[in-house]
Amino acid sequence: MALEEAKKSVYLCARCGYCRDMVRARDGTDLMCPLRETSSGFESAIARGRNWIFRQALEGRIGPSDFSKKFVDRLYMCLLCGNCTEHCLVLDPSSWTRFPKNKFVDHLINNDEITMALRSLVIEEGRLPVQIRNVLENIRRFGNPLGAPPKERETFKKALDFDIKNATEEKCEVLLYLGSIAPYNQRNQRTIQALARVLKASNVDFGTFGDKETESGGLVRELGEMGLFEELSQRNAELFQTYGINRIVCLSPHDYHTFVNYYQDVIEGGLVGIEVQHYTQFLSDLVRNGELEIRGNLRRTVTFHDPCNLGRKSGGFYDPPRELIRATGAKLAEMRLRRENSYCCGGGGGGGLWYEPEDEPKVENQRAKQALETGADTLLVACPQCAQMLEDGMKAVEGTMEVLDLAELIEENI
Amino acid sequence: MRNVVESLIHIVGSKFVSDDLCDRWAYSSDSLIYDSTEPTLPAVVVRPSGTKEIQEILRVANETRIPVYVRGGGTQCSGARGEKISSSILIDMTRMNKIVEVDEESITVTAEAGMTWGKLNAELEKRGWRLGFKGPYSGYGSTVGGSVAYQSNGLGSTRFGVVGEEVTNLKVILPNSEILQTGTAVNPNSKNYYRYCIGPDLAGIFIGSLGTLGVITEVTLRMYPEAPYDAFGSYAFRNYESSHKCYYDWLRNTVAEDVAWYAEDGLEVMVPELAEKGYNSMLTYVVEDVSSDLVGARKKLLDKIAKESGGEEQDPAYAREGWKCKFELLPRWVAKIGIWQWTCHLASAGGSLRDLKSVLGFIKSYRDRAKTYNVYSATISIGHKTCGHVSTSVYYDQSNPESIKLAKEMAEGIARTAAESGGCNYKPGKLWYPYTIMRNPVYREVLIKLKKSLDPNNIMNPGALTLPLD
Repeated sequence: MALEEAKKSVYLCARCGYCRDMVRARDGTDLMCPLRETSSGFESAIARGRNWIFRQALEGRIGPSDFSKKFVDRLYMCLLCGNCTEHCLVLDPSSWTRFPKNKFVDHLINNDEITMALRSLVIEEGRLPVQIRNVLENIRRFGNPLGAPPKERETFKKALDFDIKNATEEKCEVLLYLGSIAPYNQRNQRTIQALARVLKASNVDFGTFGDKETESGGLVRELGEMGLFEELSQRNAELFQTYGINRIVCLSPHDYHTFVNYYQDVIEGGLVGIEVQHYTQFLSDLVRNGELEIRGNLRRTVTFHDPCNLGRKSGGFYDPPRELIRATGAKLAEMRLRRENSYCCGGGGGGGLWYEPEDEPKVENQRAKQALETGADTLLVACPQCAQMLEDGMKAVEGTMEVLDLAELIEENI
Repeated sequence: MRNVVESLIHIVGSKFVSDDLCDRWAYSSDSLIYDSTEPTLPAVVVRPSGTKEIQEILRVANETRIPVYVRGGGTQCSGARGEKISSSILIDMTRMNKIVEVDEESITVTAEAGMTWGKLNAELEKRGWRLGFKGPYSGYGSTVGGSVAYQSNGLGSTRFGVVGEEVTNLKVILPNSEILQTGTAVNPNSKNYYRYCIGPDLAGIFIGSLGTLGVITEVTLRMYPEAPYDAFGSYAFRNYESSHKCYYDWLRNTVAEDVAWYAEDGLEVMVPELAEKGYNSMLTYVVEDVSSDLVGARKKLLDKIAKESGGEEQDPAYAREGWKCKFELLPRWVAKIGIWQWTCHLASAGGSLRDLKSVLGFIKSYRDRAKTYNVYSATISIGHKTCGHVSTSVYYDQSNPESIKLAKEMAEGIARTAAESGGCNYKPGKLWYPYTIMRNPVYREVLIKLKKSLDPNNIMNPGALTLPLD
């Protein structure tokens, strides 16, 4: 959604405050904005307040130069988890017949886009926080937010006893897109290794871009740097074309969401001719087609954390991960806040993993507590950012629950 | 003001006080049409967590003579804000959002004032109880204390009346920081279970007071056992005399949880398929209760009245949809016809036809201009016990200044027309002052005396309810 769309959408806001507080017994909706209870909870930290400020900026009552340090801090505190948008009742009239089972795109006020538009104004003014400035600079220079040398992307291969194709050197059916965070992080290297072993066991012809892979652009878009997003998306699209990629399997829901939902903003029709899937969708298809055999005898009780970018924000892929869990034989103990009502891990929105706001909301600790309430022994995730955040959260609340990526669970059972 | 901010920080901690410009902007409007074009920034916003903190905040306000504006969910749209917001301490009550007690012996629930109706309904549902008045139409986001201070109507008003009628007890911090408890709670040994006792009903002066007389911190409401049985009915009519006869008889018998009367413009906008068939109005009812026999008997009576009045039975889904998805229908219309401005008011059950016709006549006189600027109206009247009600929502395009201007003009005109026809507002606010409070000097003088005696420094929302600014 471009700035123009954000402008139109903000005038639909009825200021009912449902994005701030909506508890609904019918379907267990609760804790609408994860920052409401975990931060100071002022309106400027919540969609209704931010939208109102955006409107004042559009009408010239306040300019981006008036945006205070505190407000900028709150803007980058937003996790863009989409829960407020998912529950906003300003629905496209053509979708009313689906009510209350509406899709994410039926909600006409995309609060995440309005937040990103405000962040763009902050960037235009050159008033972004140092931590965010560094992240953008690192992506610009090294293709990843940490500023790590791209060679380190391949560290995960050391623990594997087989070779992985380099898709820039030889043809492969599937490009495994690892993203710009997981390969540099020890915890997530384990996930990549597990997924690679599962793909190998399923005889999937796959490869990676090695040190040529770069940030998908989603992170910079979410931080409000629209120019760099455009540059990265064009560069990636060209790379995919150059190496004849027609199928991408993403490790991270963030990259999946970026390719499927953001690229169409700057590339006509999006990634035309390329099938993009998150790995849980891909593996679930393999199981269904009999190409991935899971033993089905796992003796674990697990709970599953729905990633915002795979569930709410990407058309509601809630079932493929659960199908995979069922296939392992593990017992699933669901959290109270799940699927459409899932609570963020605290790592999204561009700011979640890369910015420490003044209020220190520690959303990950709340989510870890919610997981502990289920009595499960394992907290399953399907996103590298969720893995990092929830492992931290679990430690902080001194929980003994093991945090595993779904790929690791499957590896355990093949 | 710096000293005031420092004092507030001392009371609630720096995390919950802000005089930041953007925070002040974020609190510069509720939902009233005037707020969107003339936002007013408070000087500082504070988010207390309990009674003691509010007592301290009021002490600071008295010492410094700084006005105080109390805000619940920020969803009011009749003009509760006084004229001195820009120099005020705005108290955001929403950190006080817990149930104090579900008292099954007294059959009451006590909630902190900042609790939302959505949360309160959900909590009671889990425990096998329900509310009579379930909350205003913006109920997920609006708060219990805000509704009481604002005198809301809403879901359940047909059987249980406006929110005040379900209140048994209030806990109020007076402007001098003393704590007032009302009803049975006056006796230190009694629980919260009844309102009219001991002496005059002091709760009444705070209901609809717009926070001018104190800060409501706890509200006790009646509760009822959950009602698993329900029935819904919809009847369309070809003339108002018939639909009004049915409406009147339904209210006279007070057996429905909810009765809604869709007039011509409401039907055209909300149920166009019936308007196209030549009907000019529709009536819907909702019945719910603890036994199927009770529900069956009520449904039988309501259906009989409707048929005898000339109503033609329609799909009960028209009644069911809004009730099952509580609080969820209104925001939907924004996508289709714009943001709303309510002008709802009471009318006597028998006089509501006269009132309705006057309002519809006024609306018709605006038909062409309204069309030009995308302004729509929808009149849907919800019965209030034995009292009638005419509610016209004016929908407009927030991005178009001409549309806003016309909507304001229409809202003011509807209030004037309604007041002249005998209608009366229940939600206090700017739209109505010229036709009600300002026309009754004795009533206003008593209000002023009450205010002076409770709030000699005039710190609480000065200027609201036409009370003096200084």
